[in-house]
Formats: sequence, C-alpha cells, structure tokens
Amino acid sequence: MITDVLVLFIYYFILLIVSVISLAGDVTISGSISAAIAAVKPYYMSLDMIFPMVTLLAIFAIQIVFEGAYIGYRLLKWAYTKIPGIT
Amino acid sequence: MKPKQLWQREKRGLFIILLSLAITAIILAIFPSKAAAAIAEPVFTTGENIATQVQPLGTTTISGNLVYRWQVLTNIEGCIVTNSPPKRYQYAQWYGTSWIYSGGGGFGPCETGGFFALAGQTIGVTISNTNEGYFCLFWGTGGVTLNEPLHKKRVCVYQSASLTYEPYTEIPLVYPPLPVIDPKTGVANFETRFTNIDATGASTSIALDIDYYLNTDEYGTTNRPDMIQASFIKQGGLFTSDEQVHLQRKLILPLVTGNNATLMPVAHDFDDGTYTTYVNFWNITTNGVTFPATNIVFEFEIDGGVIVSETIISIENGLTAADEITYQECSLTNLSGCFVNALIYLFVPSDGSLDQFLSLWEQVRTKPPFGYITGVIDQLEAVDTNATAAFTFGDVPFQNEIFSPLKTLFATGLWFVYAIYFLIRVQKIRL
Repeated sequence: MITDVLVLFIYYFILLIVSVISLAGDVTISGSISAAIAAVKPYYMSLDMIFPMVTLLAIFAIQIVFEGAYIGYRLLKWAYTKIPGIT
Repeated sequence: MKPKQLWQREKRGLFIILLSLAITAIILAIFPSKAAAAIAEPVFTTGENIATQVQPLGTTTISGNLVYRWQVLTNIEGCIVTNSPPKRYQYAQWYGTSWIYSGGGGFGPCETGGFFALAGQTIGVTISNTNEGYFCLFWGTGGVTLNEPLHKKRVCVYQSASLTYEPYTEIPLVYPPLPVIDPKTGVANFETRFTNIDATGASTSIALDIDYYLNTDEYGTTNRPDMIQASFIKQGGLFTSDEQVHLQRKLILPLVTGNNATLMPVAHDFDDGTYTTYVNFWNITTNGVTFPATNIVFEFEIDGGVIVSETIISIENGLTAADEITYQECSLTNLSGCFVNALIYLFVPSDGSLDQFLSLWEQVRTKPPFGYITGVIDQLEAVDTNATAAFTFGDVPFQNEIFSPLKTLFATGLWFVYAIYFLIRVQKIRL
C-alpha cells in the first residue's frame, strides 16, 4: 500500500510531463537509415574478417554511455543549483 | 602520491564511472526485460487478443487470390506461416508495395530466406487453400544468425472453412505454458526443456546428441519439423559455397517417442572451423495445448576433421517458474504468515501500479526526443540479417591461422588505446 502510493505519486508526476510531450507530433525517421545500414553491412562483414568490428562497436557504446552519463549528471547538477537557496 | 591525494584527484572520474555503470545497469535491467517484454511481447492468456501491434484489415483479392492484410504499426521482421492442421507454411518474400506473396505448402519461410522487414506498411499474405485454421504473421528480432528463436512474436487471424474473415479479437490461440514432465520421475519440471547437447562423430557424419524432456502430450509425436529444428552458422563467415548451401538451411530433426534423449544425425561435410548451432523447440500445439518455445545455443570446433571442443553457450527454456511473492496463511499456528502478509500489503507494489508505467512509455516512444532514438533503433533492427560479405578472400590456405591472431591483435590494440584515451578523458572531467 505504502509503495503503491509512492509509485502512484511518481506515476502522476511523469504523466504530467508525458502529457506535454504527447502534444508533439510523431517523429518520422527516414527509411533510408536502414537502407544505408543494409548497404554498408556487406562491407562491414568483409572488414570483420580481419578487423574486430565488434570491439570497435563495443568501444563506441561504452563511450556513448559514459558521455551520456556525464551530460546527465551535468544537467541534474544545473537543475539542482536552480533550486532557491542552493548555490 | 599519497592515497588521499590520489582520491582527491580521481574521485570525480570514479564517480562518473560509477554513474555510467548505474545507468547501464538500469537500461539493461529495466528496458529490455520489463518494458520490452511487456510491450513488444505481451503475456498471452487464453482467448486474449494478441494483436496489439498489427491490425488486421480484412481480406482482399489480388490476382484472383484471397489475401489477408495487416496494417503493421511497429517495425517487424520475420516470416509468415500458418499454424493449424494441415501444417501449411506460407512463406513471405520481400515486401514490394502492398502485399507479400505466399508460397506453397511444406516449406518454412526461414528455410528459403524469405525474411522481411516492415514498418508502418500494409502487408498481406495470399491464402491459396481452403483449409480452416489460423494464419499467423510471425516476427522476431532476426534470422538464423541471431540466437533468439524465430516465430517468437505473432499475430493471427482465423480463416474458417468458408473463407470468411473472423475478427482477431476472438482468437484463442496461445495458452499458458504447462510444466514439462520429467519422464523419468513423472514430476513436473519447470526449469528446463533442454538438459544437454553434444556433438559427436567426424566432419562427414556429425550428429547432435540432444537431451530434452517431452510432455506426456508430446509422446507419440514423430517427424514434427515444426517442433524442433537446428541451424548452423560457421563463425567468421568463411564458407565454401557448398557449405553455405548446407549450413544456412534449417535441419529437420525427428522427435523420439516417449524418450528424453535422441541422436540427431546431421551428416554434412563440415570443414574445419567453429560452428554455432541453434536448436529451437518452437511453440507447438498438441491436443489443443500450446507449449512454450525454447532454444539452446551450442558451439563446436572441428579441426582436422575431428571435433576438438564443444561448449554450451546458453539454454533458454522459457519455462522458469516465476518467483512470485504470495500471501501466506495467517493463523494462530502460522503467525509468521501474518507478518509476511502485512509486509507484502504495505511494501510490495502491485503489478498494476508498475505496469502503468509501460503505457507511459508507449505514449512517448514516437514523440520527440524519444522518437528519434526508437525510430533509429527500429530502423537498425529492420536491417536484413542475412547479408553476405561484399568480398571474401576465397579459399586462401591458412586463412584462419592468419586472420584469427590478427583480429585478436587488433582487438587488444584497440582496447589498449581506448584505455589510455579513457583515462585522459576522465582526468579532464569537471564536476
């Protein structure tokens, strides 16, 4: 019951934000992205025979998550300092 | 440098690293398991509408053939089969402008390379026979190169003997899974369908020795290619053309009556190399009951025509009993049950309160800024997984011996360079 109430508060808070976002139109992504990837994939597979493409992708993923976390932290910190009384 | 100084200098980097790990853990823990499982693959119960993402539009006639049509609301890929007696597969070809052509009976679409990838389009399948049954559009996340079982997600329409279209909302197709019965003990075994797999023999006569349980309803069913199949992928993609023909088709495996172990003769001429084997026990309906799909991923290496190593990569049985927190009896002789019940009542959130967050995600997944990410992910998942290399080195002698160490060397170098870069980057972080 207690957890349910807490969850409900969080739900309605997020719902408020979601309701605003929902007013925006749907994003349209061009289908050419998958066509482009599909066109590149044979060359990727050829390269993968001698070069560890999976390792390269893993490094990219780690770096993106890391930088995303850093940006997220900076944003949170910026929002935190906007609270009155906090410098 | 003193430990305290080191801590002062590196604490911000450590903090960001921990934050990164936490975000990764949250993404991995919540997004794929809870959200993806509940949204992309709803939990089915008897009689429940399973067409949550594909809207059947009814039938039309194209070139004299009756065609079922669907409006695909989200990205899908996979193949089309029918799932009712007589077992008749409809296989999909690449979608052109408005519909998918279906082939004759007796062929699985995934055996013939008939994968498709669609998003936001209307598709159809030609119904060229008059048999009553369910016609299903199946989709998964990939083809034979991925270790997820095919035909995992599906939407079906029911075709009556008179070829009339029935609303999809009335389809009682998928039933809750039943426990698999251990034939040795007669005890229900919720944990596993597959228990073990071995590769035996030499390159010209490889056999898979697979141990698995059958339910009593499955006894007596033999020669059911729709129940269990295996496929093989040679790692590195350096096939000879002859191997490619053999390895990229699915092998039809027999079922053994009332037994829990069988030897599956594969009998193809395997060259030296490492092979990944995918054995799928698909959802099948026996005596009106559908059993859950399971799969096993297995690797074996052939060197000099002999199997030199074998490893079980994963066994996904789809049968694990959920660890549910349940209320206990509250009585004078079981006071602990009363406390447990009180704790559950106070602190365990209901499924409904958590599931409502999933609907929130559905509302924003196509809206900016989330839509840019989900859209790109959908596009990436739509890429044909069966692409072949643009160029190969042909049959160069010792190519595996040359390229494998080279790849390892490159990978090691990449990680080393990245580690140095990462350390420099962490030091430049401002908190």
